[in-house]
Amino acid sequence: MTVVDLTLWVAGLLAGLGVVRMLTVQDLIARLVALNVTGAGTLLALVGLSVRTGVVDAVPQALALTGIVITLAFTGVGVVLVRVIEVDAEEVSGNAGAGSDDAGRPR
Amino acid sequence: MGAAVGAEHVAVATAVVLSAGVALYGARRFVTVVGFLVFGALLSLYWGLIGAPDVALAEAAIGTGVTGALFVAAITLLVRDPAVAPGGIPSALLSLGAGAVLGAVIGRGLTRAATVPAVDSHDPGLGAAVEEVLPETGVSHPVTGVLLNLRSFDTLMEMVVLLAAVAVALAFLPVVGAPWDPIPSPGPILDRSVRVVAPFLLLLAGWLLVAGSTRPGGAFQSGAVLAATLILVHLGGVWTLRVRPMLLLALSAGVAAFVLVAVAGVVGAGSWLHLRGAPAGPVILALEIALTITIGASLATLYLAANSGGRPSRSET
Repeated sequence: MTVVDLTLWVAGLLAGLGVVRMLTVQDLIARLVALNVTGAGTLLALVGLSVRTGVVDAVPQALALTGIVITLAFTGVGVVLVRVIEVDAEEVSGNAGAGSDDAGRPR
Repeated sequence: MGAAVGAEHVAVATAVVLSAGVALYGARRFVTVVGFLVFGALLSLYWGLIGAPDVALAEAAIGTGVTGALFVAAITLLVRDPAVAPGGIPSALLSLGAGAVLGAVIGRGLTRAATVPAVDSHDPGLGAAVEEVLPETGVSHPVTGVLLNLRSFDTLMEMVVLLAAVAVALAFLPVVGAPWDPIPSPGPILDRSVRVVAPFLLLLAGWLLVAGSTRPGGAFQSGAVLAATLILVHLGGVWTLRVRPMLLLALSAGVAAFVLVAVAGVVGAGSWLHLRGAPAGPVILALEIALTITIGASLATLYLAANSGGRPSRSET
């Protein structure tokens, strides 16, 4: 077994475990964490396939760097949206009574 | 790198997968987030082991550091700490099994795919092609050369995505223009330690920025350190970050600088984003400074926007 094989197995396991959990879990924060784990698996596959050659291939590594920043960007948006769904909606339903109860329920 | 695995590879890889299991199947949000932090730290170690130090640095600083801070902010801000899986242990086991099977299928497919073009006669990657044009790009570190010159269109689009994310985060601020509250009373220890640590963090950010031209490092890692510094001085009450024209300018500096380089390429060489030869070195350094400022400001803004708005009713009780 080579380093490439090991990396690709880890990548596959992370992506597989992450994507199933992301699709099945209800909690929104847990879903974001699962999305991050899936993304990490994807990047590992990308770089793992590229370390086959003797020369270090800079292009997939640069793509992985870009991917990490993009992951952070959507995680940030996701956390803001979770806050809006859970905290702000809770305040609204707390102030306005049971009328806006639906908005506060995470789906 | 067709090298055989050593014991350290297997150990770290196993730890990565196990910590991912904790992050994915923790019973409560707190366990999930802490599991994710451990997972990120181990993963960046693994990136270093397989010979990708740039990715390792970015994973540690951005993928784990700033993302982890976002998650921790979220779970401390949100009032409830619900059990993550109401379905209980059987459904969690079912989904764990399904995930493991799917992961095994993907892993098998990837390793099979990796063997196909590994004929030793030709080089399947772009590494040699990058090495060939590297002297023309103005930097000597290939990853930086790819990011800021050869594939600068990708990085330009990345800055646009980051700007869009910050715009969304700012749009959801509860009160437009409301300042993000620092910690009410930082206390002498926090105040002093922030004042001592912050200059060194800024120095580290500057070093990472300049180091990117010749070795692992660069605008992304440096931007993450800058963001950490900004968050620290803000929360410590030393210097308050708020939505003002200066911040908006910093947030859009990266995109603006890239557009400037793109237009200069058209005017000077007849091709968008064209950057080769003698002026490339200084231009890339200037570009990296703009990117660092934008990334630092963006990440700090994302964190503080995600962290504001909710009443911290949990800490009051």
